[in-house]
Amino acid sequence: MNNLPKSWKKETLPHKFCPGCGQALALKILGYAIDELGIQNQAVYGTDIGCSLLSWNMFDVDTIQTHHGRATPTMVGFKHAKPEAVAIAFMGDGGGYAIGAQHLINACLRDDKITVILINNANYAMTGGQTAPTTLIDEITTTAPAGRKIEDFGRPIHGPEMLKTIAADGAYIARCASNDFEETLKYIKKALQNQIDGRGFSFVEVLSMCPVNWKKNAQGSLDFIEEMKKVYPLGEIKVPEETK
Amino acid sequence: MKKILIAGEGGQGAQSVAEILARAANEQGKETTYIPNFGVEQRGGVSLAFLQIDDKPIGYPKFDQADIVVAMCNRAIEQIKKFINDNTLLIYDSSFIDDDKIKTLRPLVKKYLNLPAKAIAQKGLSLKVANIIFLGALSHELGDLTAGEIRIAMNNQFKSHPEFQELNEEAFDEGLKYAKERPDQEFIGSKPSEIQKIFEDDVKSWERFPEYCKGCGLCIISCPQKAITFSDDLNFLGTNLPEVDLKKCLACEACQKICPDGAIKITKKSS
Amino acid sequence: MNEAKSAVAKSEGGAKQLLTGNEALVRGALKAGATFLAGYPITPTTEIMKYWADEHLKNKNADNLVFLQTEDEMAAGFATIGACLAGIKAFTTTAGPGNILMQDAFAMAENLRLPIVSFIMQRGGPSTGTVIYSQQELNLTCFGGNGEGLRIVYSTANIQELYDYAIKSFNTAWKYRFPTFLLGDGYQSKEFSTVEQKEPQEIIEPSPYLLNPNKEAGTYANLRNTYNLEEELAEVIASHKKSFDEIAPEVIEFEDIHTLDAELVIFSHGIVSTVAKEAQEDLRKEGLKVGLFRPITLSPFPTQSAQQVVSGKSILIVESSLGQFARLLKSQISMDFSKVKELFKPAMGVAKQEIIEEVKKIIKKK
Repeated sequence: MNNLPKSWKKETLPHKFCPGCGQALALKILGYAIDELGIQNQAVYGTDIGCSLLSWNMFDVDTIQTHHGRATPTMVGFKHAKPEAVAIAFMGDGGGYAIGAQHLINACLRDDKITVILINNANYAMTGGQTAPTTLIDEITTTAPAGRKIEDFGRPIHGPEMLKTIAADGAYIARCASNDFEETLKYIKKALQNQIDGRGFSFVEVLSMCPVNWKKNAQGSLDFIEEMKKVYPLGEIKVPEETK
Repeated sequence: MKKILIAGEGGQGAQSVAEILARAANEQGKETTYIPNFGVEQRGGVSLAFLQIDDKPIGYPKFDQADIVVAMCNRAIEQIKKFINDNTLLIYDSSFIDDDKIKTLRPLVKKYLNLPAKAIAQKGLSLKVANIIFLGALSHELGDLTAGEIRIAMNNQFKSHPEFQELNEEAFDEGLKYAKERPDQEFIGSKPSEIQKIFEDDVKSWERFPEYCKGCGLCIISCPQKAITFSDDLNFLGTNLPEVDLKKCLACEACQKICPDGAIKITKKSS
Repeated sequence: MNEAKSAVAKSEGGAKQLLTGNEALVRGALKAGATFLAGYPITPTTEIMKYWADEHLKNKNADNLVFLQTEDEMAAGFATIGACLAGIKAFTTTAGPGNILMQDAFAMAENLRLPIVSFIMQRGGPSTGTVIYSQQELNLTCFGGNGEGLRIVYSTANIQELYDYAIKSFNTAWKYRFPTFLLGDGYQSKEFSTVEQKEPQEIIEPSPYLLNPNKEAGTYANLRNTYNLEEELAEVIASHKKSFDEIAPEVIEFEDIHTLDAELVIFSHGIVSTVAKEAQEDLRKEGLKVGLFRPITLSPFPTQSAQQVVSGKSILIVESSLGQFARLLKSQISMDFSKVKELFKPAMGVAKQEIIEEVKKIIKKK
């Protein structure tokens, strides 16, 4: 395996993600998944707002950077117009669980055959570290300086588990951590294959390090991922019957 | 009236320097405005700070010609050109900005301070305080503000981290001394020296890419053999590159896999 | 009634047919080669979705029509963008509060010059207002979103125009690549009358922005609407503006009725121009020198032609809004404001007699 995915655009390197960013790692793994499935010329890649928009010119894959929360409906529209495309919607916890929540839920409900990859780094990173639906209890953010409290922000959201309750039989839903290279690659490939095979909606949440906003060094950021795993269990949350 | 433009990579501390000076000016009863100008990414990408200090109230926070321009990185050079006139003083990191880039400034710049900030920082201080070295140098050039006032504002800025005070003060003094003594008079930049990119033996090669590496350290903590450590060589962001001890390395590719930037490449040689 | 029935029986192709405005829009869209509608139900546009859903059912295998009822107007707007990026003639439709939500998508279409087509059928506002009628969405449709209004907007006056300009909207959008709007209203939506479904003279072919089969092998399209430096965005805007100004002469449309020798000109747009025309005819019969100027494109505005009309004349601006059209007009041409009178009926239809009385008041004062 090469140090860089073939489907990454070399001319735009170095990319703009922070040192130690788990989202960049997830995008590297997505690149390998695209390479191994051979879908570089069938894929369309839609990014949301937030750090995900920094990947607008990361791939040698046709890309559209959309508005906040709107990567999902844009990819839904594209997929309905061109069903043979492999439509990938990439977003963060805000784009998927806050401003774009209704789009994510309804895409799952309609069983739109797109693949959504959602980066869970427990904060709104690009804007400087505000509370996200995925922020852990007592985790300190700029909009929860005393730590996230249930009475102010509710409980941390379990997105994949929530989607499972409304997903159709052919849907694939999983959660992994970007520093688990093999597992993340496996789940992302399965999610994309689910779309390629025409089975249904697919969704992968990827726990990702955010050392800058978590104010941690490399080891600290990996330690925090371990904390997150206790709240957000990893695994394949829903697998279509026929593939079991 | 002083118009100061500070340009650096996001994360290098250009904005902190501007904020400290604005606070120091305010403490001394001066009028001041400071406005940042940067793109969306949290780290990397050009970060500009527009700072003005005057005795009279200041209207517009931006300006199109600067009295002093501070350049901390290569990517800043294109951005700063349009702010330079015959009276502008350019303070630049001669140990980090390529000479090729400085060449393009020679027709424009009449006054300069060659300040090898990163090199000074690496000699017993820390790369993290390179921006404070610039702060010290600036305090020499800003006649209206005293170095003493600026030092106080600096310590206030970082008061939640008292453990760094001594380091900051040393860096500040280095910068101040450099600006006074001006030991390097030439208007030149750094000439990239050959740094070792490939480490290899009979069975494997371990290649690092300074143009991709951001010095995050994930490779170091992910190596099961603890074969990787930080070297003194710098990557494109001006932070430390990792290097490998081939005797310990098993070519397991853990470092290659964990690197978010693709900055390490392992090749197993066929025997 | 029997006549109407036989007219329907004879229909097929170019013959006249009794249709509602909403149905005329759908027929026009289909004739233009549209194959994709995403929308959220909102009165008075709801039947557009119904007719399209019916067509979709009839033609499911034949024509690859796509129908997407989305969870809200934001999804509808962005799904339409997605389809457009795939090179499909896609459109959406909305009104009132839905128009507000869709500005999110419209702003992105403006930034990227995407040829989405939108049918806006105005209803009373602000807020939920009425489901009936107004001309109060001119601001939103021409200038909504956080951009500069580089959009093409047709203001239709009757249901024949709904059919004709539905077709034209797709041609204009795909030829010139600016988001294109058909600004109608609730009266036109619900109006039931005869429409001649002419064959269009030309149909502009669409092309994909992403996964374009004709693109150079090994190249990829990376589209964005975010920039890091002020200068980058300013360049994009300047380039869009330059193109917009270049195409304006080809796109601009207006009606100029008897303004040459008129001493008073009525300015109106959309359906109000039809009642203004009736008033103008009556006034002429009484010997009063009254003319009518009706912009058909609100954007680009027929500035030069409108400017030529006004000098030395009294002006009466009539609209079903508190001055959205008047403000647009005043921003485009210079007028002697002492000679301008306004008849504003926000969210209400305008009666012919009201216009006649206003004109007479003005002319008498001279």
